Amino acid sequence: MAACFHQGCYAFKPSPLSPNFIPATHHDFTPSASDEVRRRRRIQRTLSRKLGLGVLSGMPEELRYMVAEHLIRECAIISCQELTSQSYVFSSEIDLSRDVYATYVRFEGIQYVQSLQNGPRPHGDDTAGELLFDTKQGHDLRNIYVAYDHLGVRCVRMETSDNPSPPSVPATRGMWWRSLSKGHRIRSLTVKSDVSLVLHILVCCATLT
Amino acid sequence: MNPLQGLKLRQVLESTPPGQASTHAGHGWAIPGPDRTLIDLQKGRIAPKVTESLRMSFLECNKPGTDGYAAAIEGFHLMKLVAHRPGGDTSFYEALNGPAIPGPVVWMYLPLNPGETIREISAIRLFSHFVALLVRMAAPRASLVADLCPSLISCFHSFIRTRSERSSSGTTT
Repeated sequence: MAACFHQGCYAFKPSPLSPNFIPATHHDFTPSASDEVRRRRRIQRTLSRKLGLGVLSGMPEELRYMVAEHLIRECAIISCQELTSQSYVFSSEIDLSRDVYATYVRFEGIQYVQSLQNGPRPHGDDTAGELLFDTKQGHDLRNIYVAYDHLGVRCVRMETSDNPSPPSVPATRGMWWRSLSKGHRIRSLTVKSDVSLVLHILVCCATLT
Repeated sequence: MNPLQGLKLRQVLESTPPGQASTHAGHGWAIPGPDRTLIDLQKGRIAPKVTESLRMSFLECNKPGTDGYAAAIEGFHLMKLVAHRPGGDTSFYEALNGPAIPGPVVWMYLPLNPGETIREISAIRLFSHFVALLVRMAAPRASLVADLCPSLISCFHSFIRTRSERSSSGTTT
């Protein structure tokens, strides 16, 4: 499997790509053309706003928006490079007889699940994480719903005995939900990260060739 | 407990004991809910266990205010069936334009009369292959959704019927 870049994007890359860069930007499936249009607009809006806080603070908003249009690719590369330059380590097995916490990361303006854990993050970190499943409540876990898009898991929702129905959320374009339960009790979860999944794909490709 | 590295999660699966086949990720649905039954239109029966993870979108059947339906056809593939409402979202037209779609997409529009609803959707098979959907409104009106000439369609020999209810049904994207 080879990673392909636009010639201009590759020439622009500010430093050697971080090891997490390609796994984090890998598409599990091809998003729709309208998803790509929305992505460009989201980056352009964000960059336009940030330009107004810096060197272009005196420029009218509509002009900043036009300037931002010419810098979308560069902005995407730099922000991704910054985000993936740090190393994140988390466990791959989640015990559902214990509390479950989720931590999140924003990637190009969209929130993704960074980790699921059986305990809050240690003190001193940015956030302890969101408590998804609280065993002290004493409710049985009925089902688990996982929302995802082409870049990863966006959120996880638990269905418990005190609220035995799927979470009521509107449909979001480009995002799908999976149900994990097949009618039996789930005792533990296995999670895969950007890196582990892309490595798995690489191993499969190597086996086939 | 193996440590992982990466920026974010890609998959959450039920753990399987060592030696057992890993759990199938399951199909994706537009809203959370238990897995629904899939019908294999090619074979005309409930689909057996599908290893591929499909992503399913909704056709909102007979929702009040619906004034028609549009079907996207690429080659011999029915790609999407969507409901139209005055002032509704039409971004699905853009979604089927792009490099991911190999050929030109033809849109068929199925207008509804005021108060008219879909009563039945049938899959038509020709020589054991799915070729078209027949959308029946109030008798005697029906629309055929396919990219085939009428003379060929008149040879069809098999219907798979799905009685419509005031609920949603799935189509693959």
